[in-house]
Amino acid sequence: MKPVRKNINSGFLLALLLGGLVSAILVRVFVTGRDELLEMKNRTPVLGTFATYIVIAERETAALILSSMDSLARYLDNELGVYGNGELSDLNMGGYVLTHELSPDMKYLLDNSLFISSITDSLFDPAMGLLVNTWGFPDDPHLPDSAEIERALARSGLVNVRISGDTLLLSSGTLLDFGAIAKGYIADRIYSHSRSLGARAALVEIGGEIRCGGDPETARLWRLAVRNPRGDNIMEMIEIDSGAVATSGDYESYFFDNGIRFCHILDPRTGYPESGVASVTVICGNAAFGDALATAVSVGGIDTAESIPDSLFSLIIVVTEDENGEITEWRRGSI
Amino acid sequence: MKSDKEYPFFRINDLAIPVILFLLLQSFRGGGEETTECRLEVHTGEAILQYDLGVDSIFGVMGNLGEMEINIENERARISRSPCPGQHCVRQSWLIKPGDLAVCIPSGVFIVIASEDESLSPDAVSY
Repeated sequence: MKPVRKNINSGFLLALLLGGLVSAILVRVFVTGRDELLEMKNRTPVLGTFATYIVIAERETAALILSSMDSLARYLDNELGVYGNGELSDLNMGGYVLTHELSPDMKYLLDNSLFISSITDSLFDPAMGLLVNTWGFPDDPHLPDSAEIERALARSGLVNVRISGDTLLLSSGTLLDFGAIAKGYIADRIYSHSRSLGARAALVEIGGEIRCGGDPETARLWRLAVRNPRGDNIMEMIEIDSGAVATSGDYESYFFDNGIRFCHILDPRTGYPESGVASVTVICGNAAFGDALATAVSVGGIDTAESIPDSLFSLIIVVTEDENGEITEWRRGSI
Repeated sequence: MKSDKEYPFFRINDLAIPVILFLLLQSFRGGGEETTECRLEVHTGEAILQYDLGVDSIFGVMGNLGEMEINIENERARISRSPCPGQHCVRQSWLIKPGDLAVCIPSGVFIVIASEDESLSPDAVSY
């Protein structure tokens, strides 16, 4: 009987050990872990749209980081947005600025707008503010007469932005509008800001432009949806640990005139809205590039998508719609 | 007796205790058939309002441009009336599953079907 009793004791010991291990993990995961790190989320209106912020950070700092992210968004909105009264407003109203007085944010937007313009055959253009106003987007969209469009087109585009000595000059009437890159850029800036404040992982979404990432130890996999441009449902669900997703679509702001659909994405070559591309989604390393590339591809279509250097993106999804309403999905790259 | 000699410190039957422990834990964690409860979230910019998708209702929500009307019917939801110029949000059809959303940018309002099981809902939507 002695060996049997020994077995019972060893079995009990093993069970005790396993039970202890399970208990320790449960305590770690459900109690201790939650005490150390906290995931918090906030949704708020900003930049004329909505923003979502998610942070994983120490319990004591998570709420402060969220608050600071929102404050930075509002500051950048005022400085870089067309409805603000900060740096962009001053530049558009004054028509010039000394280059050494440009803020790092404005300089980034200008430099990278020029870069994206250069690789997309000028289909991305941040100097389209006058044309956007002529079409009345987003508050009062309407079809202007062709003469109005011609006049606005003549004073729009990067050809009307030049550097003379140490001064950046806009032609008379030319207005900069970073609407096609600023949301992505601000998402990047807020993401970096949150990380610099101690967020172990974070996600920023502004008007559909998303930037996310985190420490590998958090193992946070971000579940991101891409909206179906011709439905109210989700076209694609992706999971990434870090990166950016930006979408540009003709459904975001548009109107019909005599049965013709006019969207808010204007073609810098013609001054008229693009047609034929329902949506473009770009998955890449930073949201500013994704935002700008999505806009350029919306204008130039699949030809432009095919010309973008591989190093700038992971995946491009283009959804086109022909004149019969037939939808086609085209992809380049993978994640 | 033979097995006692071959396994003096451990018998396969001894695994029964941890297995039972595991099964008990699973039962405490709500094992069995899983159901997913969905709700409608209405984001107005100032608040996130939640509604039971199981209760048919028509209600108003104030947006930037005035009152919008939201309709819940047969566990589906849609924006049925909006003062916005484009009326895109109204033309969208019913939202039926987690992640489905309708956005009215001029009004500053969006509605989304959210799941009690957060793992089914996206962290963010690119649009």
